[in-house]
Amino acid sequence: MSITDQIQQVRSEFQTDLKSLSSENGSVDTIRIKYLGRKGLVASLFVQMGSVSKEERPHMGQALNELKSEISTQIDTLGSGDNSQGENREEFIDYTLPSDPLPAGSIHPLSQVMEEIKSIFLRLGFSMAYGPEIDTEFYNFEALNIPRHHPARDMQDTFYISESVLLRTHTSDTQIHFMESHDPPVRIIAPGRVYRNEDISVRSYCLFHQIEGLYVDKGVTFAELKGTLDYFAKELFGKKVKTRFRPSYFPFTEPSAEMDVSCIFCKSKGCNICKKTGWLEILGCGMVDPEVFKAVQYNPEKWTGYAFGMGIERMAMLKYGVEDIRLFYNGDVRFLRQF
Amino acid sequence: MKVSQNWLKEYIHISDTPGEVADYLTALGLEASYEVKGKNFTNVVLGRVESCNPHPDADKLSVCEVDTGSGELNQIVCGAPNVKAGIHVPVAQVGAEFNGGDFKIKKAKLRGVESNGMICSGKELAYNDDHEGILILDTDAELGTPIENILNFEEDVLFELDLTPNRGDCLSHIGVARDLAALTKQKIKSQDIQIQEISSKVSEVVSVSIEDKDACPRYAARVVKGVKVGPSPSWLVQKLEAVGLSSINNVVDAANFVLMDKGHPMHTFDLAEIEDQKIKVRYAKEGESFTTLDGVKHKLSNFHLLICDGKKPVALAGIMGGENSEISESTTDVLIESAYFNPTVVRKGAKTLDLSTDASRRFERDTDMDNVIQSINQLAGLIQKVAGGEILQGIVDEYPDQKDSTTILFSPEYCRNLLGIDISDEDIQSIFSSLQIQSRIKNGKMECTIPLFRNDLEREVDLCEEIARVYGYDNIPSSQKYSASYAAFTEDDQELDSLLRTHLQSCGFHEHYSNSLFGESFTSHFAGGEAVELHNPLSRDMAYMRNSILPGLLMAADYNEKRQEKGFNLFEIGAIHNTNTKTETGSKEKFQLGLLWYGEPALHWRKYEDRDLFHCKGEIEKLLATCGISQISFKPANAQGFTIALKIYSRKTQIGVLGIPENSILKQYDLKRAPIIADLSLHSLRDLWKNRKQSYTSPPQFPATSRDIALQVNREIPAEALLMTIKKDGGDHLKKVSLFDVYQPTDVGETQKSLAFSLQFQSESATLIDAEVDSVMSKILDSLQKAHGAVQR
Repeated sequence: MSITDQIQQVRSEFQTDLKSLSSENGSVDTIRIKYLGRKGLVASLFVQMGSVSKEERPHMGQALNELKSEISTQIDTLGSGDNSQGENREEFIDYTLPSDPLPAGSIHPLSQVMEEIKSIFLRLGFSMAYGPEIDTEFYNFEALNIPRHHPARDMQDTFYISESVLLRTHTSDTQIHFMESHDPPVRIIAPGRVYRNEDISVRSYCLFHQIEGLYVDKGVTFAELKGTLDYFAKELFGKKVKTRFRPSYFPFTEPSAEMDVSCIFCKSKGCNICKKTGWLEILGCGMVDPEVFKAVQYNPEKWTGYAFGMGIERMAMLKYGVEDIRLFYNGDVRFLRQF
Repeated sequence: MKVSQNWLKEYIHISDTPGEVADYLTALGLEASYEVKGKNFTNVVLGRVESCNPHPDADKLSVCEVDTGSGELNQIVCGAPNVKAGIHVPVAQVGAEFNGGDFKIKKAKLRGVESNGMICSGKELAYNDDHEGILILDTDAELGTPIENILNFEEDVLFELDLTPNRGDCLSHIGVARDLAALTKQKIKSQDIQIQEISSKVSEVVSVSIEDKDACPRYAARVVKGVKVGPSPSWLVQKLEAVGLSSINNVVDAANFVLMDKGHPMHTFDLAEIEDQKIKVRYAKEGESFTTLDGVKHKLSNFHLLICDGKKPVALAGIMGGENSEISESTTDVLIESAYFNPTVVRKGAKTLDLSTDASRRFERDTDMDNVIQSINQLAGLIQKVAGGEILQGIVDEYPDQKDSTTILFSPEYCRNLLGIDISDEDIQSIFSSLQIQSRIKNGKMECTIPLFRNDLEREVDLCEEIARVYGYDNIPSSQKYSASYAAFTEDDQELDSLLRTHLQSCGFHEHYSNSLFGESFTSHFAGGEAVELHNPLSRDMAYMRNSILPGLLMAADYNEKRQEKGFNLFEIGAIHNTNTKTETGSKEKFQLGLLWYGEPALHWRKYEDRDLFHCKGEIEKLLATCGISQISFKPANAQGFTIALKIYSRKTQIGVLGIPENSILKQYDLKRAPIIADLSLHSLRDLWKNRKQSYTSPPQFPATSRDIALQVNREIPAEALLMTIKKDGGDHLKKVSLFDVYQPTDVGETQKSLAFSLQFQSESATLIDAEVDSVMSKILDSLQKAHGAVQR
């Protein structure tokens, strides 16, 4: 039988099947598979195209394509219930059934806060740097002008691995690592995990995360430190916050300061979160101490700079109102899903 | 450190509100909060309990008849355990108010018994912190006398200072007063210390020798003879109580008073216990033992400094005195020690004995060499005043090398540049002068002489901070512009991490941060090398740094399983450590990405297949594709802790491992259900990502053609191997191979399996003709046969 005949035969068989469908209540899908399936009648005709002569091929191809589209249009009309013939077989689909479950995950609140802070400083031309969690006394203390048997060591309870190796207590170690390996000017922020030998409670954990900032160039001033950090605070907490700098002490900066922002919860009226002071302590900062420059062989006569550091957990607790620091580390998906 | 405003007023004039003073102190770097003290009640008078009987209906209450001098007795119900007949007590009468009316005393019935007033405790009157019972007064004042005429309810403001370690000078009232004086532009009122000495000389009673003058550069001694040790007068008790010290006896209280006033710690010995009339300052011998006055016996090392007499140690220098020579009621002659001890020596000594005292805290923060003499004179005078006795003539002052004041060369220009302020030389000098720093202009610079009480000022930059402090940090302008050097830009090694986080978030993973400290048993579950052990862990459960990212994820899985969570995915990006003798820290840090799939998809009206390893393989391939990493393969392998493990490769680089943990491991985490886990090296990912292909080829212009083949092969032959062969022989035109069916044919026995592949061919330069494709196909089939014994079905 020629292909043309076969096409004709399939066409009439299809019409017969259509009629029997309406009387016998057969399934549209069975017909679809019979004619349009991967091994269906139409497909088998296409397979035979290989044996058709080159001259006839375009003609045959066209006839076959017409058949295919004719059948598929009719099946589609049946399926959609548009046709009066198929009206009583219209399938009711409840589109309010729940959607496919494609749950989104979450980025940890600490990562989000870190990312937010990072992006502000990247915009200000800071680059990223990283320091190791296990470090030596030299990088964590001595080069930062905190000699052994100095009372400043009491400010940070330290986990030791050996006499001179420890878990870093702050990201300030990165200042030294970076300056040792890079010539000035330097403009970096360094996020990372730090450790303190403190009992675990609602407000403190044996580890937390910090972001350190360091800027060294010619002619860097305290006024510039204030300007940069004030900009940062306004970007992070909103244009309306005020900042306050007050003298503090860090062995690796001189002068040293703490920066407070006006309490974002009570608008400086005084609440429990700001302990009635109207101010929230946000970060420590100061001008890089000349001793630190000497430790990394920078000439303190030539270069000045500022450094700052802040706790990510504290920022996240403020931002999201988290009251128990341990929620950050136990992996409770009921907590994580909310971020 | 607690500071009393009344005490400060002995040095400076204060007219500002307590809040303003606290703000000044904070602005000076002496972070302060405050509390207002004083009489907070009305209508409390002296009464005497005339009778005291048990309450008929309450075990803990008593019914008292109290005489308040009004001519009739008041019936008062009292709950204090120490109430009894005959005692004098403060009585809040009906109508009395506390805290400005927050609390009022009214006629009341307590369990049916009428009560007219309240007998008060020390805490209720804000007199002290005692709330155990009522305040029993020892007085012969007339009944009905207002209580404020009997007890002292002096109005005061107490400032609580949170001091930084550099400001040891402010551990005293004079130190705080000096700073406030500088800010408020006042001069400190000087105190005249005059003492009356008798003619016999102190040098005839005691001699001092110092073995190591670095550890103890100065040691001064005075003697007061014939004192009567006893209770302190009430003014002294109150002064000390105001700043949180309790009274011990008049001699010790006098020393504490000078400590709080001038900040110089001194010690008082019972001279009778000092043998051979000698004081010798020396280091302890290794293992030497000594009992401090708190009764604790210490075993000392050779770096502990001791004060000894002719025979034995009598004090741990700068830390605490000895039990053997402390002032007791029988003491008549007092030896006063006023010394300067090396801060490092005191700190090291105190730290190793875990003994921190008011004295050691001050010596550690460095004390004022000049204060040695001022303080000893003040104390001798005060002891005489409160305990009587006679002061022997002179001071034994062993001070071999006179310490000079520090001189710092200060450049006003440097200061202006560092702070970014425009301040004149005159203003700088005036700030210096307010801080008692003498300055002299010399060749455009200032030569500054630092008073000995400010031994934290050693360098030019320290003086810049002083200028900033007094000028006011808030008065320094915030710069409105900034400059950045291109030379400061450096590459970010961890740039990939945020991409990973975003990708995994959208694939339904929650990011986890786990504790990186855990117990020893958790260090051996997975391959990770030897874990790094802490020398001083919080507990054995947190004694090691994690050497694998997986335990933290499994702990989190267990946490959630116990909270009825049925299905979740977690990931963590973090550092792991293992020991490594080649590095300076003896350890190596690596960054890993850990993934965990737990449980089943949500219950749903449509059925979803459980996530199995094939799903997770796909998820990893998708992750790697997102990072531009290609040519991924998974090879079954053995891996520690896994019952099934697939090593993940990109070409020949191993990236990580994916699999199912062993049952024995799951038990360690108390997990009921096995999650699927993966551990990937972030270093490999970062490297591959950095070197990812960043070019493209034009989409093909010519049609593709495909061939399907069904193979029959021994079931042990991995599909991956067949695929590799097909790809290898497929040549450039083979664009895609899909494995679309795996089945077990019924006709060939159990050792065989059948796999169906669809191969797609396409050329960039022409439409492929059948013959070309057929020849490639036969080559592929040939190789499959030779390499794997695969035959076409």
